[in-house]
Amino acid sequence: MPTFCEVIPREYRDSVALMQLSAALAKMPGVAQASAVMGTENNLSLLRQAGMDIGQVAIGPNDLLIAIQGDEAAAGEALKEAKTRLSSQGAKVDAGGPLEMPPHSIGMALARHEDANLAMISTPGEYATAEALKALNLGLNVMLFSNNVSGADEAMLKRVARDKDLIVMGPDCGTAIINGIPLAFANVVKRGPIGAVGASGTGLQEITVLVDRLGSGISQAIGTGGHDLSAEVGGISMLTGLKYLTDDPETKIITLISKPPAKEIADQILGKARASGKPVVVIFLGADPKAITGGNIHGATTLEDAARIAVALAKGEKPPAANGAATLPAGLPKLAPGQKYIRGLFSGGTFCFQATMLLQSAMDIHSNSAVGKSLPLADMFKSEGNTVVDLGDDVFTRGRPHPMIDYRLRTERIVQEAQDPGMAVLLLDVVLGFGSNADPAAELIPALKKARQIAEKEGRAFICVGHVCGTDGDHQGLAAQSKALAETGMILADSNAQAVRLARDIVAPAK
Amino acid sequence: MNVQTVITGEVSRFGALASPILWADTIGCRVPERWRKGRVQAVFERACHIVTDDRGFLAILTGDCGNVAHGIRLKTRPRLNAHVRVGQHVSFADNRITFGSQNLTVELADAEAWQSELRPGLFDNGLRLGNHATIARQLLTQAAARSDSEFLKLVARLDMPSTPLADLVGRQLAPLKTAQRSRDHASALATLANLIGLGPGLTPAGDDFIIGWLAGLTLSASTADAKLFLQEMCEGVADRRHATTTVSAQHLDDACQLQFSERLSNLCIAIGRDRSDTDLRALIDAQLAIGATSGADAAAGLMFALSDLARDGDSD
Amino acid sequence: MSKLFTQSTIINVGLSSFAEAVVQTGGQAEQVEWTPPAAGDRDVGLALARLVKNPAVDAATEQSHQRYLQSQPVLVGIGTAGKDIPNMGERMLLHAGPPIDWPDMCGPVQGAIVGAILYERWANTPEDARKLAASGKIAFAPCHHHAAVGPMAGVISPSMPVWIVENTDGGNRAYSNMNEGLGKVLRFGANNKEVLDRLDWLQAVLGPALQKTVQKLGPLEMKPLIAQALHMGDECHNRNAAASSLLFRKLVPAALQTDVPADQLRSALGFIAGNDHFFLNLSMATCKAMLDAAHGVKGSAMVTVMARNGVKFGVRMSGTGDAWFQADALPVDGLYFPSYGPEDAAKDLGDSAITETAGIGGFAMAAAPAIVQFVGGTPADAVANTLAMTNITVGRNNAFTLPALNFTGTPAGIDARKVLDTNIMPIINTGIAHKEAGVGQIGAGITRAPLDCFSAAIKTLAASLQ
Repeated sequence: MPTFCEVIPREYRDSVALMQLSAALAKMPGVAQASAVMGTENNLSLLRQAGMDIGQVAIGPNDLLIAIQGDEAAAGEALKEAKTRLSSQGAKVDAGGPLEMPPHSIGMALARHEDANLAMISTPGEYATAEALKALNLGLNVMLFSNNVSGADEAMLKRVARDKDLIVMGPDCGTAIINGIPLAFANVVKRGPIGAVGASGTGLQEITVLVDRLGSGISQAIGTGGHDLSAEVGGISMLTGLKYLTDDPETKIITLISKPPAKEIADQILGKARASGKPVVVIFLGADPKAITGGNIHGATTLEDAARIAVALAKGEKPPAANGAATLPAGLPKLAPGQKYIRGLFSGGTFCFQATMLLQSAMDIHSNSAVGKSLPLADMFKSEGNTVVDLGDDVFTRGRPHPMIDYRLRTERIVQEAQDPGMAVLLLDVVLGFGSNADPAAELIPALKKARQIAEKEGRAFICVGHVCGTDGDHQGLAAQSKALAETGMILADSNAQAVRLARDIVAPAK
Repeated sequence: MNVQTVITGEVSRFGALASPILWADTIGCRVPERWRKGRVQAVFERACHIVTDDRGFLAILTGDCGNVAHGIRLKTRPRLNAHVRVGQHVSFADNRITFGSQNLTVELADAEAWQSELRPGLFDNGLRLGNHATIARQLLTQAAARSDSEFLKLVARLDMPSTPLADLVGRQLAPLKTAQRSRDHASALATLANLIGLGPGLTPAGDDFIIGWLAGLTLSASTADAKLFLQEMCEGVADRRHATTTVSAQHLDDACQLQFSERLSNLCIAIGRDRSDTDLRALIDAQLAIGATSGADAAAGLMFALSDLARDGDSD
Repeated sequence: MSKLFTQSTIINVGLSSFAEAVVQTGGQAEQVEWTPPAAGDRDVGLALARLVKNPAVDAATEQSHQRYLQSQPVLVGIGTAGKDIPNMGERMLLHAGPPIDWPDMCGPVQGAIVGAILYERWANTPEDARKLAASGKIAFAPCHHHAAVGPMAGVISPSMPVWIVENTDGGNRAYSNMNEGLGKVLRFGANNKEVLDRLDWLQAVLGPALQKTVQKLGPLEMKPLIAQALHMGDECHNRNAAASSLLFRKLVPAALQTDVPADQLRSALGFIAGNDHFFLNLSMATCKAMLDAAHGVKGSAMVTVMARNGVKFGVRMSGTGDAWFQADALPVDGLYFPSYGPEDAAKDLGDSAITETAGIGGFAMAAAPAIVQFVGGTPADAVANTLAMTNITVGRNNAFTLPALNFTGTPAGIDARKVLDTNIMPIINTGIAHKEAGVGQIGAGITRAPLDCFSAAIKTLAASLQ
């Protein structure tokens, strides 16, 4: 198809104007390709490469070239249109109407969207209380991502919310899925009958992801912030969330996630749960599930179990027994003498907590996430014996992004661990979803390769076990990430709990 | 405002406000100092380009822009395209630039000199691409998703529809990286030659990318080898600058003299200093706000030059 | 069911990537361009948060706004400052802005004080006048403490003729002096013979002629006149060409029916006809009458005064009584007349920001596109400025409609809470005075009310409600 050109000498436009012009011309009937560019040699050769035969057009870098590929009549029309647009674009600058200014406050935003029902707040902590209070006063629910909000402020905000029949998710609430929309650090999961309220961000992520993978879906997932069930706050948001899910016709099964609260608060929550009339799966991480099971309440030990029970109940099946055993993959390399210890490097706080919880019965475990009889770390930057570390701890995140975003701290530590002849298994979590690193596998792989080289050069085995918390809906892609990681020899489990058990069984085979 | 006072019978000496004066804030170090007449070559809302009769070049920028080496930044933010026309005569005398028959005057007397502080060796005592380099990379990767800059998307390795431009640029990046790593002057310049003048607009995206890349090389040039490579690149690009538009050639020429724009140098210096009290996001937003995609294209070049360096630190 | 579970817009404050993620997954989100209120003062920020949507403050603010809307400003006569302005002492001089002592006054205000002393014959030479001013024997008070307003230096002395505007709805009256025109004038601090002669003439000829004319004319309603002027391209602060003409059209037929001698009438009418800003002082007195009606409602966050004395910018709020909330005045973004520049400018000066406080002036800039040439803008900028102000006002004043905005009312009644919460500073059209006394106006442009005034006001209001 022939190409027709028009040269407009000394015509200057910015690139967006020219790209828009090209796009508009290309859409005209009978036009195959259209391009408006400054006449530099590289631009001309680009047009030729794109199959536009512009011949030996006489043009310099300061002239505008409009090239149209199409039949002659259409090209004529397009060139005419181009000139009209160029002359009106120039005039439009002056005649343009005023732009509406973006909202400068929650009140201004609400005036434009009277239907709004939720304010998401992630300002620096010292201003977050005021913004949250304004949102509540204006009748909005609040998701408070900010941290560094005092306990007193949190309690005040939550009381104000309770009086207005609103909820405050947070402070330090990293995850929620409301009406199918993932908020902050959350994963893309199917909608379904299971509602969740969680005081733990990664706990909520793991359960929603596993529910999705087990073929069910999430109605609503409400975060409360980790401090909600403290005596100071009294679980106000957990109670409100429970009430919301009880009243929500879409929610058939309710899941509650928290570390064990004070007895008084636990009693209150379990009382309301019993009265909800819906099956409620409760996981108080680290507490005995049998103590709370009964009636419509189903206790769970691990996040994975909680998801499995919830999905079974949603399908009308009997709740399954706790998942305990792990099957070791075939062909594991033989550990050298002296390779005895697990080294867990976690970006999710709850994953570290659950690992500490599951490992402490089998071995002495050092951790910065205290559970039961776990041992403290003398130096958080150095492992000793069996060690699991939450790299999201304030000690590590001061002045740098969270380890789910910035993998540098973890990749450095992986190499450091590989140099320790005592390490037997490296245990990791990889969290996908909104807010997380765009390509965790690409961040980890060079470090894993290097760690393997170091260990193998010194005659040791290198075993890495981990799990990916994410779905194929997440922009990083579960399948793509898993494949890339598996290719480096990483052993991938379906859940954090299974990864931890695998690691445990490798260093301390079941008797 | 055109007032006669009946009592004194005199016409107010102020007359009508037909001849507004704009006060210059800063003057770039490469603005021609001796010229008398010129013409307006292009006008945008916030910038106006003047070519002098002796083929010199300068830009007038409004107060909300960062300055450039060949630019005069104003104290206020008038809409320049409401006052100035393309082709208008411009004269310069007594520290004043006058447009047309006194339609508009730019007063330079009160302005301060400005030049880019970024230069090789600024961080010779240990450039460590620390937090800020990582955060900058993250922020730019985020920004790439909503940017129209094909360069930024490519450097951030985002999925994007295949266009002839994207394909061509994509083919240049790998050899450029290899040449940068091995400091192979000839191959690097051969690749750059394919980028000069590439892209639709007044300042083609390829040129902006090269400018950002040179800024990145300048920031990280702490060894003699790196400085030599930078010098070769500058000389080579300067030789080839006439393959693009006059305005863009001027920007390239500034960059080859290591005079980068105010916003780009501020961003580079902040990354190099790596101090936690710097608002890096604001600096990046300011850089990305330049032009339609120019700021983003240059940021892509910067990110490309630095990514390699950041990785060096990891691998050995 | 909880309102949370109805699909609707999410308002995002903070990391913009969160809003982008919401939109990517099919939700709706509105990003707030957030900066910490009160320049990051956490306590004031919290105090503000408690006042947002506070029922008592909302009701009080609404009540003061209603009083402002219902006010009926009427020109009832021309009086003499010493006789008519309440509590005006014999040796008292009123000035613009918040209270200030002689030594602290800026050049133009000191110059105007000296001029007024000479005009009152309290001293014979400028040197003696300065000594007298410094001696403590003259009482200085803000115009605003006496229901009065004056442009620029705003100096009003006992013998000056003054406009009297009465709010017939509430019965309160407001006062302002006569506009002297441009050039060497008292309000810019000039005090030479030409200035004093003109002041004498205002007192001896213009005042009496106007007094008889207004008496013959009868009470003149001001709102319809201002409304009409807004439709003719005025904003009644920096542009008064239309309003001055409309007033002139009212005055002439009445003047011709008075017994004022023809030569006096000729010079009086000639003076009015030659001064595009003749209406400004009457516009200000009208605004003052409307806003005084709104002042003094306990708990109200509506701003009733914005005024500058050349050093400080001062704000008063309906719910905080006589308190002034002050901050350093901001520079003016504007165009300078040839041979002047920013370094020559006095700080922002005058009571004329009462017009913006009342919803005209800069707030009605959409009515007066010609104004924007001062800052090199376009008519679209003028509309944008008015629209921006709608975000910080209690409501609109439908007595003053704007053709460019499809005849909606001007944004009126500044809510200090909204200013602080949005960080949108009230816009003010203004002239620029030379920093030395008597040089006069050297430019015009746009300035803003500093946010610190509003921080202090909100802090005081919050404390008063505890």
